[in-house]
Amino acid sequence: MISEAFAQIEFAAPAGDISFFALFLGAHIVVKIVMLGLIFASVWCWAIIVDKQLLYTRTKRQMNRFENVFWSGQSLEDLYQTLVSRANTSMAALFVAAMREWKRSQEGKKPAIASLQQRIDRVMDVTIMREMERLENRLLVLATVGSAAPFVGLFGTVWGIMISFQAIAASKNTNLTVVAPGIAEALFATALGLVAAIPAVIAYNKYSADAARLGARMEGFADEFSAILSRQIDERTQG
Amino acid sequence: MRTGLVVSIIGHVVVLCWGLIAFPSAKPYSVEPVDALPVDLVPIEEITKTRIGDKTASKDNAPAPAPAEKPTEATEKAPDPGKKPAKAAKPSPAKAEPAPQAEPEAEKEPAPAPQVEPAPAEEPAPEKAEAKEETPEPPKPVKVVPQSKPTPPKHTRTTAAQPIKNRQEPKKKDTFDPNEISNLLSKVEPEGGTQTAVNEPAGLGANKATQQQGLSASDLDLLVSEVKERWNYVPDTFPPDLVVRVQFQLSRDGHLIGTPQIMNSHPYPRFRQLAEAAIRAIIAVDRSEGFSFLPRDCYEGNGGWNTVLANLKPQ
Repeated sequence: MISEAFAQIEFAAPAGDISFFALFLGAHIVVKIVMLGLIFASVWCWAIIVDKQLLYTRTKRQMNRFENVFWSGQSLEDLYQTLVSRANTSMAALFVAAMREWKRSQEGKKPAIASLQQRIDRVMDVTIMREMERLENRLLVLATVGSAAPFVGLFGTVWGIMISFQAIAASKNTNLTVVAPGIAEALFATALGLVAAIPAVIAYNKYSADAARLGARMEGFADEFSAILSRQIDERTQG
Repeated sequence: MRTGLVVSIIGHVVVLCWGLIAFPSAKPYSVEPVDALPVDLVPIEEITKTRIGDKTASKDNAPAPAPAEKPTEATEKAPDPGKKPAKAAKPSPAKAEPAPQAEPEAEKEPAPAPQVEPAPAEEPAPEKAEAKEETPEPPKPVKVVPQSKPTPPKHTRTTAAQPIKNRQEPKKKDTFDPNEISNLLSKVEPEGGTQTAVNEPAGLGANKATQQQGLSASDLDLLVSEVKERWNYVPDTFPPDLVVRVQFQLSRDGHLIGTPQIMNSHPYPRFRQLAEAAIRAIIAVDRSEGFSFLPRDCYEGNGGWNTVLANLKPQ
């Protein structure tokens, strides 16, 4: 195993150069685990980032399209018929949920109109909450990685430097060429921690702001739609 | 989520591959080669010690090598060991001319002096000192030389004085043997250095030797060069064995005590002028900087510079 490792180092870093691979292989086992964990965290963070970017773009596009259709003067009944058969998200889901409650209240022999307005509001609140949860799902992972990864990397560095100092003491040679590789390996852990943390923090701030904006937009639509339905309800009860 | 994960993994793999290829290109700092400075660690006592060791060793078989060494003697350290054996070996011919009377005394003295208490040593010293005072310096150098050397002991400690006596004997011999003189040329020797030579004939050399502490080679060189810098004389083709031997005493703060004295003579017609110029040079050194550059802790003792005997060779 050892000889293999050395062979790999030779392959990866001829003439004693320091490559990622050599840095990783030369590190202590604890530092290796830290590095692997940080690399995994980085992969996961970027997966979330990509996912959220796609999700928010799609959501925004859907909202725009729905609003266009909604305010185009088209009959709400027709719109509902079109949408009810699909799996809807965001504003469409709000609309469908409210319309479904409205329809159900109209059906039957005794239309339950007295507290229909409250029920519709509640249904739309629940739908908004569900949508928001979907949008903000896994954003907390970014926040966690963003705050914890530097510390994890620092831990790896401290550990690696401890080990390399012990090695220096054992070798009784303080020549910089002897000291440097161990410290470089240790510092590599901090580098990985920062590599994982920086995008995570930036992405968390960006996407939580985006999610809040989308939520506000949905709430605005819900209020507007609630006002429209309330007017309808009042007209019917008076009529 | 799946697309995100796939994209992320692919992205990381790409970055890692890039790091594998591009990252290793850290350029080594350009370090200009620094020329190594040769450094010799030389203990201050090195010279005196080497002399001691060599003397005892070469005593037996010395005579032959002595003449051969003359040409190489420019450097001080290496030749030293060789020279002394030569001196020690040839005492008898040298003695004959200069002062037959003085020498036997001188030889006897050294033996007791080094090991025995200072008292016995002093006794002979004052006698000689008196004799020297009476005699004018240059004209009678031959007789004076052997006896006069003891004089320094008055001012300096007895231990210091004795080495001087001891010294002279070998040098006396040298002055008469041209070949050997050339070996000693342009050297300044603290008394300690030659003292052992005297001891050897008495068979006591080894004991004293270990106690000696003398000026280092660099200190001696410095002293000689300081004097020579101010030694003004008319250039000439000097006889190869011409040397001016000056003895002078120094105070602890590195200043001259009394007047330097010429300790030898030479048939060379302008020897007198040379010798006086040398004295002036020593006085000039004293007036300008003094001899305070000599290490303080070597002032006293067998090899100390309280009394300095300098062999100056004009070039």
